[in-house]
Amino acid sequence: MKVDITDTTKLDKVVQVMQGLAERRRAQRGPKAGSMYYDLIADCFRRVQTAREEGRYLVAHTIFVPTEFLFAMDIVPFYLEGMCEIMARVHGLEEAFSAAKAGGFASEICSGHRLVDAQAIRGWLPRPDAFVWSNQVCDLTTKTGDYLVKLYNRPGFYLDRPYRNNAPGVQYFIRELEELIHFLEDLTGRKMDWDRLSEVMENTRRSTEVFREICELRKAVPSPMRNQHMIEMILAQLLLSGAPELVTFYEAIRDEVKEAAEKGEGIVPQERYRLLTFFFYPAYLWKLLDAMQNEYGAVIVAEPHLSPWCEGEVDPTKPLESLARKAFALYDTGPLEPFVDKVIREAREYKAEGAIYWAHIGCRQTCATIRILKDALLEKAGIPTLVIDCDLADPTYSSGEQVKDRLEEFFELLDERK
Amino acid sequence: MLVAGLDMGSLTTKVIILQDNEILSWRIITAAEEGELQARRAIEEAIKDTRFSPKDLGYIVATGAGRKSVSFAHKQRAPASCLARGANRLFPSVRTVIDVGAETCTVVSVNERGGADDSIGNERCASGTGVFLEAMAKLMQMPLEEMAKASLLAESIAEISNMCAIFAEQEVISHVHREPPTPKNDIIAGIHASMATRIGGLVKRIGVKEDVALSGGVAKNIGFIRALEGNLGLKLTIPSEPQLLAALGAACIAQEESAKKS
Amino acid sequence: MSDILETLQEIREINSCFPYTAPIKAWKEQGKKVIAFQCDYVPEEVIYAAGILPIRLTGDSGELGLEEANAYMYVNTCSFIRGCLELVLGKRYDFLNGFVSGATCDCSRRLADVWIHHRFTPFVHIFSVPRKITPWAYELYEAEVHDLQQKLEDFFKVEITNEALWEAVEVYNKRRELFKKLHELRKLDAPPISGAETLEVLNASSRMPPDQFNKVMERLVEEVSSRKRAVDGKFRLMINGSPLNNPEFVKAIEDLGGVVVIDELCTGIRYWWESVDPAPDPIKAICRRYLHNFPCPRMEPFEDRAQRALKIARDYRIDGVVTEMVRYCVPWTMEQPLQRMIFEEQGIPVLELDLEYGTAGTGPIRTRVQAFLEMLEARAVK
Repeated sequence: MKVDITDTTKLDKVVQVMQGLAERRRAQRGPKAGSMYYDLIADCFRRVQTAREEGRYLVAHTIFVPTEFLFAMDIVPFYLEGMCEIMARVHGLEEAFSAAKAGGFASEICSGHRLVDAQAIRGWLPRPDAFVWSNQVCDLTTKTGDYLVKLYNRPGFYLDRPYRNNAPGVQYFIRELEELIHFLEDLTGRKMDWDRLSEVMENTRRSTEVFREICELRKAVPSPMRNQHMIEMILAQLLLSGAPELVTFYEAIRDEVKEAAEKGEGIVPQERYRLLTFFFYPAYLWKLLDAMQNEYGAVIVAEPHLSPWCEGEVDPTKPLESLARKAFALYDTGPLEPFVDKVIREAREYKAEGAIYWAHIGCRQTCATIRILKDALLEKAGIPTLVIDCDLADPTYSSGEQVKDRLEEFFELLDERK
Repeated sequence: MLVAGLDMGSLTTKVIILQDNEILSWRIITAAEEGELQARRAIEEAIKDTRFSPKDLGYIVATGAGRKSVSFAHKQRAPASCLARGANRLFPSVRTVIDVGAETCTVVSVNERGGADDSIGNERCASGTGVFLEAMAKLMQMPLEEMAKASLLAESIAEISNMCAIFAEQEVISHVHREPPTPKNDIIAGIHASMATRIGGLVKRIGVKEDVALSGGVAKNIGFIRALEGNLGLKLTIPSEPQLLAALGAACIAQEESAKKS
Repeated sequence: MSDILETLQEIREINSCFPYTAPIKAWKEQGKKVIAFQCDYVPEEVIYAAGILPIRLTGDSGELGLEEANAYMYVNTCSFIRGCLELVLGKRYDFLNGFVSGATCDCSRRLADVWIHHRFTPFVHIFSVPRKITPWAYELYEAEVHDLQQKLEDFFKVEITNEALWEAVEVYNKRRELFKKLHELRKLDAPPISGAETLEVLNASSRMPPDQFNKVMERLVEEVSSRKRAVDGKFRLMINGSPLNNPEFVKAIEDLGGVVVIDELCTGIRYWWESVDPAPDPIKAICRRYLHNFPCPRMEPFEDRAQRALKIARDYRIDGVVTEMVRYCVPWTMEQPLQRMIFEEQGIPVLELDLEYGTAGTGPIRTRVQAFLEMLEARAVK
C-alpha cells in the first residue's frame, strides 16, 4: 500500500483554527504568551504548507529528534506526534482512530502513534522529503519510521539513543548525530553550515536557560504559573527547539511568572493544593487544568518527567556534545532509579502536597513505573498519588466527568491530611 | 446534634441517623425513584423509628454514585472517605476496606485517623461486583442466597478464567455441559474464586494492610467471603450490616462538620 | 503421527520441574551459581565463562493469574514480562544468584527497574544494546559486554579468562550446530519432528548446563535422523511473534492439520541461528555474533529482518505464517502491519493471533486456526 496522493488542504483548516484561537486570546486581553502560543503553532503549520513552493526540504520527525539540525540547514520540520494529534482533533478523532484500526494498528498501541499512522493512511500528512525518528521515548517511536518510509517511499534515518548514560553510550550517540547530519547533507545536497548551527544552538542555550528560570520561579508559594503553561511550553519546545521564536515565547511566560512571583501573587486567589503531575495530560482534558486551578485551587507546581528538558549544559561551540548532554538528561529512555530520587527531591523543593499520575493505557513504559514512584512519594515525601487511568488522545476511554470525580475525591483526601 | 449520612448506591439507598455519635436508626431501601425523592423517602422512613422529624436533622452528608443529586445535603463526600470513616468508627484497627457493591468495587487504604490515604476502583469492569454474581446465579438457576452457601459444600474448585465476566459466563456454561458435568457446588466455588482473584488483584495493587474489612452487599455472601479470605490469606473483618458502612461514614463526617460549625 | 521420541521423554522430565529443573538443582548442589538472562542479546558465553550457569528467564506455560505482577508493574505491561515477574514473586526463581538483562524493549527494561528496586537477586545488571549494526554500534556493544564481564568478575570474585571464553564459545557453538542440524531435517517434505516437540527441546536447552544439553541433543538428532518418522501435516507453517514457550499452543495448531516447520521467535531461531566465528579476541568475536544475529523486531532497519524472515519462509517452503502476538507486546504490534504486508505481497498468507503469553491455544484460537487452514486448503485446490 503506497500513498501517492496527499491532501494538504487539511492543513488550511488547522491554520485557520489556530489563528482563530490566537485572535480569541488576543481579544480576551489575557497575557501575551496566551496568544503567542497559537500564533507559533499556526506558523509551524504554515511553514509546512509552503515548504515545497518556497523550495525548502520538509523532514517529518518524531519526539526529541534535534530540530536544531533542521533549522540550521533551513529544512522545515514536521513534528509528527504533536502535529498529527492537532490535525486529528481538528478533523475528527473518530475517523482517525478508525483509519488506524483499518490499517491493522491494534488499539493497544498508544493513541498518539495511532493518530500519526492514521494521518499517513488517509493521506493527510504532507509528503515529506524524508523521515527521521529515534527510540526516544519508547519502542513505538522506534517503529514509527519503518511504516511511514515504506508508505511514502521516502528515505529515512533512525537515530539510536543508548539506554545507559556512560562514556561509550555518549560517544555512540554523538556518532549517531554525526550520521544524521550526513543523512541530511545527502538529502539536501548541501553541507551543514556549522556557524549557523552554533547560532541555532545559542537559541537552544537561551531557551534552556529561560526554561530553567521558570522552573525556579515555580517553587514560590503561592504558585505564580498557570497550569496550562507547561503544556504550551512543551509543545512549543518539541516544535521549535533551536528557533528564536521559542526563546521569545519562553521569555514572555517567564516575564508573566516573574511578575506574579515578585508580587507574591498566586495564579489563583486561594491556592489549596500544590500538585506534581506525571506524564502528559490527556489532550482532550486540557480544559480541566483550568478548572482544577479555578474551581479547586489546585495548582501544578512541577512535572518531573518534563523538568529534565531544562537540564544539560549547552555550549553553542560544541553542538553535538551539547545535544548529547541534553538527550541523556532525560529519564524516559534510561533507568528508573535516578528518576525516583529526582522525583522525591522535586516533591520537597516544590512543597507538593499530592501527585497525579496520568496513566495512559497505551503507554507501556511509563505505567510500569507507577507503583515504585507512588510508594516512594508516600514513604519518602509523605504525599499521596492519584493514578488516573486515561488515554493520551482518545476521549472515549475515560470521560472528563469521570476524571473530575476522581480529582474531587483526591482533593477531599488531601483536605483530610492538612 | 442529630445528623444523617446518605449513601446513594446504584441499587439501594442507605441512610443512618446519628445522635451524639450513637446510631439511632437506619434503613436500606431499593432504588425506585430518582435521586432526590429517593433520598427524602429514605430519611423519612428512617426517622420514623425515632421521636424526631426530618427538619430536626442538623447536618446531612451524601455519598455514593448518586450523591450529587441530593440538593438538600449540606455536603457531599466521595465514597472512599466515607468507607474509611465508617470502618474506623466500627473497627479502629482496620487499615484496608474492600467495598463490593452492586455495580462498583472500591478498595480504600485507611489511616489511624479514619481518613482515606488511597483508593482504587474497578471502573471499567463488572466482574468484581454484585451484578456479576447475580448473572451467575441466574445461569446456575438458583437464588443468590443459596448460591452463596453452595460453594462451602464444594469438593474442589472448578477452574474459571478470571479475565472477564463475559468469558467467565461461557466457561460456566461449558462446565455445566461437560461430559460428565462439573458438580454444581464446584462450579459455584469456581465463580467465587474467580471473583476473589479479581478483587484480590485490585487490593494488591493498592497494597494489603491488615486488618482488612469487607463491606457492601456482596459481604453477606459467605461463599465469596471464604474465597476472598483464601485469596488474601487472612481473616476478613465484616460489619454486621455491611451495606451500611459508607452511610455510617457519611454520618460520622456529618457529625464532625456540625461540631465544627458550633 | 508416530510414537514418542525417547530422548523427548528425557527432555519432558527436565521441563516438568520448571523453573528449578533437576539439572539446575544438581548444578547448584555443587555450590555453583545461576544467573537468569532476559533476551537473546545477552552473551551467554561471558556468563558461562565465569563458571556461572546462564538460564533464560521465562514465564510458565498456561495462563497465570498475574495479580501479584500487576501490583508491581501495571495491567498494560506485556503478559510475558508479567508472567516472568509472577514467578519471581511466587518465589519460583529463588534459586537465582543474579539477573542480567539487555535493555532491549520497554517492558523488559522496566522489569529490570523493578528487579533492581526490590533487589530480587544479589546481582542485577542491565546494559545498552544498540538497535543498529554499524561499526560504532559494535564499539558500544563491545564496551558494554566488557563492562558486563568486569561486573561479573568483581561481584562473583572470578576471573573470566580468554581460555574460558573460547571454551564457552565451543560449547555454545556446538549447541547452535546441533539446532541447525535439527532444523535441516525440518526442511524435509515430511519433517521427522513437530514444531511442538522442537519447542520442548528449545525450552530445555535453556534450563540446564549447555554441555549436558549438547549430549541430550546429540542423541535427539541421532534418533530423529535414524528413525523413519514423519509428522503429519497438510500445510507447512511458520510461527513468528512474541516470546513463546508453551508447546501446547503449537500442538493445538498442529493437531488441526498444519505442521510448524520453522519459527521466527526469540525463544526459537534467534537463540541459535548465528555461530561465533573465530577471531583474535574472544569478546570481539562473541559481540560480533550477538549483534549480527537474526534480528529481533527492536532492531533497525526493518528491512533487514523482514528480508531474512522472507528468506527462511522460502527455504522452508512455507504455506502460511501464524503470528502470535502477546497483547501489549510493543515491538510486534507496531511492526505487524508492515511485516504482514511483506509476507502477503509475496503471496504468503498470515494469520494474526492476539493472545496472552502462556496460552495453550483453546477455543477461539483453534477456531481461527482452523479457518486459516481451511483457507489454505481452498487456495491449494485452486
